[in-house]
Amino acid sequence: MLSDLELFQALVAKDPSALAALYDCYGDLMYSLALRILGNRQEAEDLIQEIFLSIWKQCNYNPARGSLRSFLMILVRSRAIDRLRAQKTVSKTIQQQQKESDRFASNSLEEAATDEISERVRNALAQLPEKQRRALELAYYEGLSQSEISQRLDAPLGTVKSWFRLSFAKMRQTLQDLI
Amino acid sequence: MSEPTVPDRIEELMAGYVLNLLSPEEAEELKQYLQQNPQLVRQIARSQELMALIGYAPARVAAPASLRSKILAEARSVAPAPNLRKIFIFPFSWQQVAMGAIAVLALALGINNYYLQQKLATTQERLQALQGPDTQLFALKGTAVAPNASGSIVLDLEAGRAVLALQNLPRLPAGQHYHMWAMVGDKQIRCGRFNSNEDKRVVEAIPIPIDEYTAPVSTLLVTKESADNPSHPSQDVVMQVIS
Repeated sequence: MLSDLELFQALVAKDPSALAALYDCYGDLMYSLALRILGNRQEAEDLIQEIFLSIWKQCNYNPARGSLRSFLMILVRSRAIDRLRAQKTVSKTIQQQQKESDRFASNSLEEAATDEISERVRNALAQLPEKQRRALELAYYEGLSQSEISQRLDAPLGTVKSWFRLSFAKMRQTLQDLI
Repeated sequence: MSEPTVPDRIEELMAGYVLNLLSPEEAEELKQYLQQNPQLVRQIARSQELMALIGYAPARVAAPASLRSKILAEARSVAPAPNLRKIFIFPFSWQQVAMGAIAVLALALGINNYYLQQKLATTQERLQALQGPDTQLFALKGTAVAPNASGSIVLDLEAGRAVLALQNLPRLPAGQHYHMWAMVGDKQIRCGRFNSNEDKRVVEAIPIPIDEYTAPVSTLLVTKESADNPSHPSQDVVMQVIS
């Protein structure tokens, strides 16, 4: 596996094999996250293509600021949430039906082999108290604001904020060797 | 790893920050706190990494097999044609520079993998692709001032930045900086300053003043300076391009 810096320098140098290597390293991971947030295969595919091409044209990653993995996953989440918000004009019923349909398909037919990191992250999330985990998922995958989460989970805003604080502290501790 | 004790309010703001949930007022409050407590930047960076890790949790789904080829085909179509847009001419063998830089980079990063071996065994055609129309790759080594220093610098002229990967470069004390200089025609242009970390490494992207590059960059220098913004390089040349 290539180092972040190797990949980045090769991308900056417009080495086409670097783009292929980047896709091979992170393509499925990024697609899975995009699909989880967008709930629609075509949307997820379009987003991943858009992200890779934007990186190819202008790679804004700064190796001094963190890992390439972090840059890519945060980029996927951020752009997927932007798309999700733009979709809010579409009928929620249709969207939800599509989402459920895709989730079923992904779980039953095409789920690929997982890896150790994914398992550890899932376990760390599972160890959180139910409402903390739910709040984190609503923020992370649906892009809800803290006020919206407060309403959705019927909890005071201050409580929601403390859930984030506690869940981050707990997960940083559980996954400390990975971050 | 133990973390500094932080008021609950700041912990909440830091979590909100990485989730992109802060109001402008809350973001400002966090910014002011960080200015007074810069050691917390590391903790925020760890929370950002945590954010990325949470993205691993969804069920792994293989992307459509066609997506990879679509992306690569599209990338080829948007890549500028080197022979048409190339404006910078290298004063030395590209093969020499690229192989030197890659070998040094491999050493710097302690890497010995298939990718780099492939790079080192690459063809002239491949090196031309690596060169790119708007990028320049320089391999550098230390002078007598820093004899063990080595590394590479890529000038990304399109993005207006330089990507530095240097090793064994002693960390300078407060008040001193390394400065990078580009030789453009008969001018010496200061391109930015940096320092190495405690491991004597520099892995950094810094902005460069491309508007001042009115001719091809013929070579680079790294000097040690006491002044913040020197107009000319000092005699303390620390690294230079491998010729």
